[in-house]
Amino acid sequence: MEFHAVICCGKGVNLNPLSKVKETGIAKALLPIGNKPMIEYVLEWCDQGQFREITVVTDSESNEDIGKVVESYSIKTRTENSQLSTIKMNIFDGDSTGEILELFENDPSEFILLPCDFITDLPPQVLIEQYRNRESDDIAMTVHYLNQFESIDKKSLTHYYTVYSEDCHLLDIHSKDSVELSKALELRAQMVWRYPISKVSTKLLDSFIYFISNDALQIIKRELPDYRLKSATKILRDLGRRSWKHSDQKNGISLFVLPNECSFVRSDNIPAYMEANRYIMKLRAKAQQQPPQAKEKGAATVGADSVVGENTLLGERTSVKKTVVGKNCKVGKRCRLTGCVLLDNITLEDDVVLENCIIGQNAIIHNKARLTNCNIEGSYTVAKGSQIKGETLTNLFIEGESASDSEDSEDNSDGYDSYEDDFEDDFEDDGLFER
Amino acid sequence: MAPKVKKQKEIVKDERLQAIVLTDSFETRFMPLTSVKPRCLLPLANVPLIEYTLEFLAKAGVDEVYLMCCSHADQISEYIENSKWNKPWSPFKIQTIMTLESRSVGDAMRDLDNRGLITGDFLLVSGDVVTNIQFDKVLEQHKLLKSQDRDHIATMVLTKASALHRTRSHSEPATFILDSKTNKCLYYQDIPPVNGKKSSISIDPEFLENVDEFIVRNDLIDCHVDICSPHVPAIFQENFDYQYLRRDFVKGILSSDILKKSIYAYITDEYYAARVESWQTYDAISQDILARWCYPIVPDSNFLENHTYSYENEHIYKEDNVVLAQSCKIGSCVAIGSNTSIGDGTIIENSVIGRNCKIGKNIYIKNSYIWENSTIEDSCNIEYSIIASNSNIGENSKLNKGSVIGFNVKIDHDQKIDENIRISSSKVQNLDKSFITSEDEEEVDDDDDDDEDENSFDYEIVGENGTGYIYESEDSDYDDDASTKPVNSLMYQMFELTLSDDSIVSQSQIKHKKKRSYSTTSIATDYGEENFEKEALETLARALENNHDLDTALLELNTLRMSMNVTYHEVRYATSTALLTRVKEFIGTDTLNNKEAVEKIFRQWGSLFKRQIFDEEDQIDLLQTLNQVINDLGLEKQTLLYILTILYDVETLEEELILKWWKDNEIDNEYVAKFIEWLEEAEEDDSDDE
Repeated sequence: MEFHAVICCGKGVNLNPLSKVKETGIAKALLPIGNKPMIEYVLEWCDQGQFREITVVTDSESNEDIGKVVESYSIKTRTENSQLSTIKMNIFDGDSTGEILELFENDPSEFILLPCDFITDLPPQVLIEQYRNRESDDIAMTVHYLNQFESIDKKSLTHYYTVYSEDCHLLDIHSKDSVELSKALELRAQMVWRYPISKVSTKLLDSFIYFISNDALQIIKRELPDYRLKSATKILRDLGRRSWKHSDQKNGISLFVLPNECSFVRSDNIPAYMEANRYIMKLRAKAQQQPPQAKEKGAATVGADSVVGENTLLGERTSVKKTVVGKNCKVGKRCRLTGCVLLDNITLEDDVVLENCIIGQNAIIHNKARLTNCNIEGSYTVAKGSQIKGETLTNLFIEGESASDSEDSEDNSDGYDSYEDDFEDDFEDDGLFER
Repeated sequence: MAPKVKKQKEIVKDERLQAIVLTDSFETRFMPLTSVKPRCLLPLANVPLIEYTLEFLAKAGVDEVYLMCCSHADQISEYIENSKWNKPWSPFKIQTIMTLESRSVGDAMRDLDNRGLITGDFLLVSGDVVTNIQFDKVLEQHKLLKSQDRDHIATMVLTKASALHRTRSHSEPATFILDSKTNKCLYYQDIPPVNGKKSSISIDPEFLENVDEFIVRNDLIDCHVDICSPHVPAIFQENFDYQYLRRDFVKGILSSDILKKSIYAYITDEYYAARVESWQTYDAISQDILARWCYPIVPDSNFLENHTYSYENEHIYKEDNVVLAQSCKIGSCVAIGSNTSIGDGTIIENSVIGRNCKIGKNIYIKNSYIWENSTIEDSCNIEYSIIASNSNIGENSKLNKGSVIGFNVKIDHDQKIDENIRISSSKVQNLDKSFITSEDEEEVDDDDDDDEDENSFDYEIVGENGTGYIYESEDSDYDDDASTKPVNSLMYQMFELTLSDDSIVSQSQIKHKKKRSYSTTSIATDYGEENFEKEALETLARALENNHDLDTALLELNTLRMSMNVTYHEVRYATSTALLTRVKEFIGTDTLNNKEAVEKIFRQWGSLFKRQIFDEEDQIDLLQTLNQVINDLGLEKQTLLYILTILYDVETLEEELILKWWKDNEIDNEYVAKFIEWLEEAEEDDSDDE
């Protein structure tokens, strides 16, 4: 396999308050989906593809934690299958994903940039074949998908105007925010001349799965001097623009839209994270087929589409439906949990009712609390008898809002704000029009 | 009586299909030929352009055709009267409508609305369309869409081509932004030509709400065949400032929050549709007709009753009585009209030759269009050129690519006509008054007749015994760089994206059709005039009194002008009177002295004239009017001087026209004389500098 998979573990700004943005959170890559750190899904996916090399890129803060998980994953799977390459860890504390490319400047292989937060039933071979069958002068491929989960609120997804040609080449990307801000979607006349039929989709979502050939890497290095400051998405967009804004046609970027038959979800925001959990639960329920053995009377009931982690105690007459309960939790009597995600070490006292909630680790919820559609930060304590709907509860001490300078700009819609400015610059700088 | 007629109309409403043909394009692309003949009567493959449009309408099953005529309206109406369309067996009722005052498509539409002819959804086409579209499908689609979307007011017929397709307009490209599912038009934008200036299409995200995916298309040929609902002329009426069908109307509709109307596109790729809107498309469409791409629109269909074309191998079409010398060689794609003779050793390829032409010996004709009654003497070389009727090309001359020889032009022997030179037999007034080659051309003769001063022919070009003037197109303003390639030329060849050429065509420039030679006053009725003057004066007096803004005043004036159907002369007269009366008031009340009063009024309001002046004649007329009004009101003579300086300053009036006016009219005004002197001196200085 000629590919080198690079998994980028971001901070998870949009997963606030669960992610490492908060002191009490866990690194995004380690947030469990169906009681398994999400990065494991990505690693499993990679192993299906048998890549030549896999590198996990993390920031220094969470490097150790993620390292451990990766290591235990390796021990679990690698021992039986010696063909698989080892997984390398790489620390990276830069501000933009573009800088990650710099780390691999001297590596002659083709890259696949992956996010740490996707789950799909689409085997990597499909993408690899798609990439291999690209047109001969295409140098990179981006993968886009349509949101299939209706329950994920549209507002929480980052929307783009994705401009692509009739023959599926990425031409341009505009973020909705910047368009909204400037009240205009600017399409270059030049582009329309080069690609007389260009489609613009408002629904396509960026998967952050990018195939980048070595040629592309060379071009990025040569022609985009400031690529280190840009996010990978932006670099790809610039390559897309490069294909039409020059007097002669340059290498294109192919764009692949995942077929509707496959499922794909990125847990890069809270609703999507919930949905990913439910999706995994559903898959498990299907796989199990036979219902779990009948329990003795009065014992807690756990639905087929729920998972309860190790060392977790469930009190009498507690019912758990469509819910993931983490490890080492204590759930009191007569609790009802529906459609929730509970991380590890959580204590629920008696008669707690949770619906569509996400509870961070070490949280404590006292007697008779009733929460609906809430996000609770780790270590938070919910008072006795609280009745709360649709709120995000965070600990009171105020953290320096370090969110804005997050490394992970695929989560960071701010990444596009400076867009309009540098658009003009792009056109002035390339010197192509001074014939 | 009147209501009864109306009732009858309503009964038949649904059955009649009406078509409005805009015979005037309000452009100057075919100058200088269109100074003699209107665009729609220019022959394409030896058939006047309008015939193609009418054939299409006949096939489309139209019941009533209205021709909106503007420039050369008399010629068009005469042509129609004598054509088969006016015969009892004509498939539709045809009527020409004189809308001589229209200066844009918008004006014509407003005129149409005033006349109240439209009874239902109608077909709007321009008089230069060549198409074989199956219209019933379009109409069906239009009705279907209308039943789904009540706000649907127009369907545009577009054909799929490629961005640089030869029958696509290269000088006025446009992109359509359509909803990919429904083909509902979301936005419309003109774009600069290939390699033109950098620009972008900017779309307000509001238009894109609730649209999952849309498509930006720059590959469509817009042949201006639209099905419109009766709302369309009414919308033009409500929006005075709409001039263009696409740029103003379509864009205006789409971006309007109030109207909430929608426009759909009907895209076809199985039929031929194109507009003869530039030399480039003229050439491309001619070739397509010869090569039978637009079947059944081919020369051997003989649209005109007296045509006798027959088809021979290799797309050669000949009428009866063509005399070909034995050794001449006719290549593929050639059409030759009757009574034409072709001499020995002559080679003709991809060309159209009209009737009664005399083509001499050893001539090479390639990709050229020679209209009837022309004579080409021996050993000429003609490539990618157009030779209009009754011209004469002398022996051994060479016409290079893109030359256009106007009607009745005579080129002497051994002349070489450079690329893209256009020659006409009479001077054509240039609206832009862009500066023409030689100084002596400034004394432009007004008449369109051929009584030119013999001395002023451009002998350098046409030769000693030739007759003809060079025509400088308005476009030349924009190509400073001599090396650039005009988009509107036969010599378009295949454009390469990499070709560098600066923008040649100004998109924003409002171009008007050539000056009209009719006496305009005959149209306006006395009744209208009287009222107009009174009302206009009141309107302006109000504006001056209350210090309205300029645009409002203009709008009001324009409304008045249109509702009363008066000429611009009237408007200018009223404006002059109103402004000068105000000046007089100031002087009379001793508020300001003469100079200050003029300064105050004309600085602020002088720009009113800008929108009332369209060609040189108008400027001269304005000067005359001002002079007259000053005399009538008994103002001092200096007043005219003050006004002149201001109008000259704000570029409403041009130097050479002031000079011309002064020369042509003996005016007793010593103050102005000084100004003229000064102008002349300044000009001399100018020329010295060069």
